[in-house]
Amino acid sequence: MSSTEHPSVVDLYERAPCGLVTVSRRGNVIAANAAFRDMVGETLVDNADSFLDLLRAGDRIFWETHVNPLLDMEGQVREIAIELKTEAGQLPVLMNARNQAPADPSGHVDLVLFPAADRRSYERELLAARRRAEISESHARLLAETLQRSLIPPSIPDIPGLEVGATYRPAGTGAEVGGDFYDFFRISPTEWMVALGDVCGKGAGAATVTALVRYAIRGAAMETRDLEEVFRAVNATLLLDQSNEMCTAAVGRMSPAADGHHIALTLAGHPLPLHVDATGRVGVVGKPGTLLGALGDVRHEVAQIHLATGESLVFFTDGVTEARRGAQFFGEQRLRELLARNAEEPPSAIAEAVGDAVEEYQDGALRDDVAVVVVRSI
Amino acid sequence: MDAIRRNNVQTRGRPDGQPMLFAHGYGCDQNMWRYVTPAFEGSHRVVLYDHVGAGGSNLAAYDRDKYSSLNGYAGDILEICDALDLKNVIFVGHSVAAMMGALAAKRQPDRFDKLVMVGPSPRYIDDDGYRGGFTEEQIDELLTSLESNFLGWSTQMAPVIMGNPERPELGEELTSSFCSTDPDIAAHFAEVTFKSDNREDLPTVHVPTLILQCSDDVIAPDEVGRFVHDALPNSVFVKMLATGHCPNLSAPDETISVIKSFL
Repeated sequence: MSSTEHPSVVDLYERAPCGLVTVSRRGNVIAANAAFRDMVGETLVDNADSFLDLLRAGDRIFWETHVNPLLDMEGQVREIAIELKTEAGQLPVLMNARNQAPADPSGHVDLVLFPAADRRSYERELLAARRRAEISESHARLLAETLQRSLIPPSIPDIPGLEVGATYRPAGTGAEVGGDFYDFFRISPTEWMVALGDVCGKGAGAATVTALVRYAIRGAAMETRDLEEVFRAVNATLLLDQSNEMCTAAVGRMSPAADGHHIALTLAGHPLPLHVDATGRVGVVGKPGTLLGALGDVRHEVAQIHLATGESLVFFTDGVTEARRGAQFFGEQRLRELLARNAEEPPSAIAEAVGDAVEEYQDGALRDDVAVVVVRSI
Repeated sequence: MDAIRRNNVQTRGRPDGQPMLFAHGYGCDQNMWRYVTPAFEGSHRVVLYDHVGAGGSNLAAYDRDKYSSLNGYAGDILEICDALDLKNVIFVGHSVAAMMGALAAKRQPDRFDKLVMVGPSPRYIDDDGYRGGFTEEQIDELLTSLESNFLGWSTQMAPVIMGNPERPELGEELTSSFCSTDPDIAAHFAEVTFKSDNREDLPTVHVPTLILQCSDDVIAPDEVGRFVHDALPNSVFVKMLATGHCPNLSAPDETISVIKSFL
């Protein structure tokens, strides 16, 4: 290419494929290339006292609160999305700007302006789509929370002679319903049932099974005092249900007795509850039994427990003991130590302390639901 | 969380001097005062801070309810004063922070010796018989403009912070950069700022106040500054040669000398 074919610097400036404008720090136009004049329109450019006159009010605020301070502090801004007033209407552009003398408030700022109507409208569509996604997500979250609340009692009932505490912490961010549940209900003028369980799986499907199990336990327990019979009924209900979900559960019937309460306890594939006496001594109670919803033939045994005044029974789901940190489990030992340390706290504080410890163990992000119920004879 | 860490409070100058508390406006952070504060460090105890959501503040402390009105920000001013045991305070607020200072002085008048308002506006949106300079639609334009201009932040920074809610310090580091913050916070702060109306609070503020009014301020025009002057029972109005909305950047010398002669 011979040198005569090189365009002149002036031509390059005037005919650059973008608007080039030099302004004062206040925005007064000092120079503008032909491409910019064509983009905006000769008359508009000539009549504008300041570059800011070509911006919408919202963009002028953005200029004063962000662009100008950034030009001062960092000397440049990039990819700023603004709209220019032009003789042909509003024109979305992207702007880069460089402050040629950051230390000097009377220095000049060079602007490069690219028309970007298509890109900006695509971007707006993406933003709108993201907003819709966020709204859907918050609806889903609300739905999950509402469903979740329906799986546990709205408040802990007042049971004469017993003090009860419970906590429930769903896994994840709350966008999905968990499968753990607990329940308290009265079966006679003086007797109450406590139930706690864990349906395998998550989400809306598991939630319907959780509700099914909770109400199957309630229904069966009103019909019979035989706790093995209660579990047989729940097992049969689950086997007939199309969901094929399985479930672990602990059920206790609590009757007032001399010096405390008597508890008849049955377990189905569920972690053994812990008994804590007033001095903080901890031991397991109950007898292991078959998971519900898996087999036609299930075996459960009823354990008879005396809960003397001041003693507590702690029910929990495997979200507590199987909480993991790397390859380590939270484990029963850690739980026992925690209960021993907190033996003098009220049951609600003990339940929260267990929930907090498990959350902390997993750096605040639960990977499985956690349900804890503490029953104390008073 | 204590106010000192939450608001990234920085103290300079004479420890035994009268405290001057500098508050930045909407957009960036305490660096907005960097040309102004050195002039007071020889004589005063200079205290700077970032509003929660800005600069080096703790983003995890951003509570949408608390910060849904300027009163939440005014509460932070009082908490900072408490934490540092500041008395006889000269409060210097730029832009929207001027109204935060007025609200703080309304709640605890004895805490403050003087207020300095740089480019104040008690209401940005026009109303019957009042010209704030903007229509509601124009403020909505600003919110859209913010959304387009924080695209980069939201895609690059947000996942890192959102993925680590238990480690808020990650968020602090990433957003320490001047003028950039979580787009949701930026949009909320913009909405709270530009839709605020504190006209009725002004007559209840009796602390001596200096109003610095710039020429050609597109955000807080002359008549808005005059309105603040008329509504405040005990105020001095100074029209500056400086143009724009940020005389602390564009004309620090004039800003310093006007404040000094008021003090």
